[in-house]
Amino acid sequence: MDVFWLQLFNGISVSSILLLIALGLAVTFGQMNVINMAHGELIMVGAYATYMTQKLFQSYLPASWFSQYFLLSIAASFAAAFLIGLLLEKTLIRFLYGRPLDSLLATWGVGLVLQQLARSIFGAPNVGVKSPSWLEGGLSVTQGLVLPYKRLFILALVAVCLLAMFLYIYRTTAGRRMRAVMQNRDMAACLGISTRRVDSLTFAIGSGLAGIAGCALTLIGPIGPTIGTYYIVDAFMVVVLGGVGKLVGTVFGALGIGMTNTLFEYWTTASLGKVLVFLCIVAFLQWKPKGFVAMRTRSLD
Amino acid sequence: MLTVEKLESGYGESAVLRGVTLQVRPGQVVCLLGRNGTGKSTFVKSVMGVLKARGGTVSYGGRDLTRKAPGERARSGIGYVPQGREIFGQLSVRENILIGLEAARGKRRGDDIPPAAVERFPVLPTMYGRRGGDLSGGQQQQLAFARVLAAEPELLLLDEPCEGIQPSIVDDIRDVIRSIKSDGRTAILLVEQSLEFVRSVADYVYILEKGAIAWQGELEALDDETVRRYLTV
Repeated sequence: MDVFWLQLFNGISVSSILLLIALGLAVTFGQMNVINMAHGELIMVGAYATYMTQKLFQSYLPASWFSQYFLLSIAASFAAAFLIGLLLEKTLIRFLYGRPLDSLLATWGVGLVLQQLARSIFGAPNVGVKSPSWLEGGLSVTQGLVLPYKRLFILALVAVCLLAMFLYIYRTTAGRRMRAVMQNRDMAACLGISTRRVDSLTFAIGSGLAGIAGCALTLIGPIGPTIGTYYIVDAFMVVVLGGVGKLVGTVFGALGIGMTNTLFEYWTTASLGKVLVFLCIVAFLQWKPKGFVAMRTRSLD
Repeated sequence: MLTVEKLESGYGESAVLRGVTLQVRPGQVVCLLGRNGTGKSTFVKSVMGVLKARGGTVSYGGRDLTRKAPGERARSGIGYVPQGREIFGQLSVRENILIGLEAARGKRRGDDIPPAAVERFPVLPTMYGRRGGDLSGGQQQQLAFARVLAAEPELLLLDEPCEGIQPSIVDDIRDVIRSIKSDGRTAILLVEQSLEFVRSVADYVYILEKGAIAWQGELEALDDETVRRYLTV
């Protein structure tokens, strides 16, 4: 029984990371109709930002401070990915709005460039990030069931990000602008919203979230230039499954894929599990082509 | 105030407007008439910037806006109520009006709805919490007016504001347009089908035909012969 609970917990843990990655994708795809294949590389940026923060702490600051580095690295990874996202939007993405196929190719190219850049700077082999001491060990629930602190920390981190995103989108002026642009771009512009500014900010925030996801991934394993590509396909599945335009949909999508992934892999094998997950997704989309939560409104006229 | 010169515009390959020249003076109500498909909505959209002009100029208050984004036009004082209202269905009524405040030039930002925006629509404050998409067509039209009035525009572009809503609200909307006119602070460019209503509010009339101005003049000059020639279907 303990093994089952552990698998369940792992499933939730995987879901939470997927959610963090997919949140950024969902807003960019939902608002701007851009398929950002470079999103995975923004995860990588966040991961390497964490690695750099660790290096800086090791080299320049007293050893006793080291255990605190991780909190700072969360901010650093968000900032790094945010800035690169902003740069990407200003120089490339904004020319591709409303052209999903072109954006897919272009951002894929950007992703390759970023990967190679990481290889040139940090080298091709994976590097390890030392987790802070206060995240070692785990919470013993029963004799055989220990929940690692790292995974619990990631869960909490994702919960905080989700809450922050929710407050941003539904409670702030900037979030209101974002929702207006997402629903009716032309009309939002006609009422005085600078859609260009909203677009850059939204894209940058989505990128920043990917950065935080990268930071979280350093707790789970070593990081390398291609770390993002492992997650990007699943994250896109989450977006498609969840439906575009609503946070709740993305949450359900992430839970759905994370849980079925873990459980199928537990019941069968890793590769067969994946096949079953994709079969489920295909079947589900046949039934509900717009995903869990589709935007609906009373149609008039 | 609004000066449009030789405006050319259209969709894709097809040209709809072939050089339209039009003027709106401060506080004036200008009506744009014409049969279906003559380019009335295209004209309004091009003035607002939703459609890019292919030739000619749009200037407002002496400033050339021809290449500016719609957002900037709105912030310089032009308000737009589009055909079909275009309410944000997923936003609450309150939020819809607050989005209208985006165009208010610096002075009235924030989260307070100016009372002046809704004073003509007493029904709206009672449903601030409801989603815009759940309102009836007439209520949505009132919301579209409140939304655009929030920013206190100096020029209103109204594209068939009474089309497709229940008759009882049509009269309300017409009263609102009359009261905006009698305030005298806001000029209106009105696209309208009902000649009777046009006769009751317009100061000046333009008639479009095949994407060009076929007739223009003071309201008094709009005689039956002109109506028969350009407007009767």
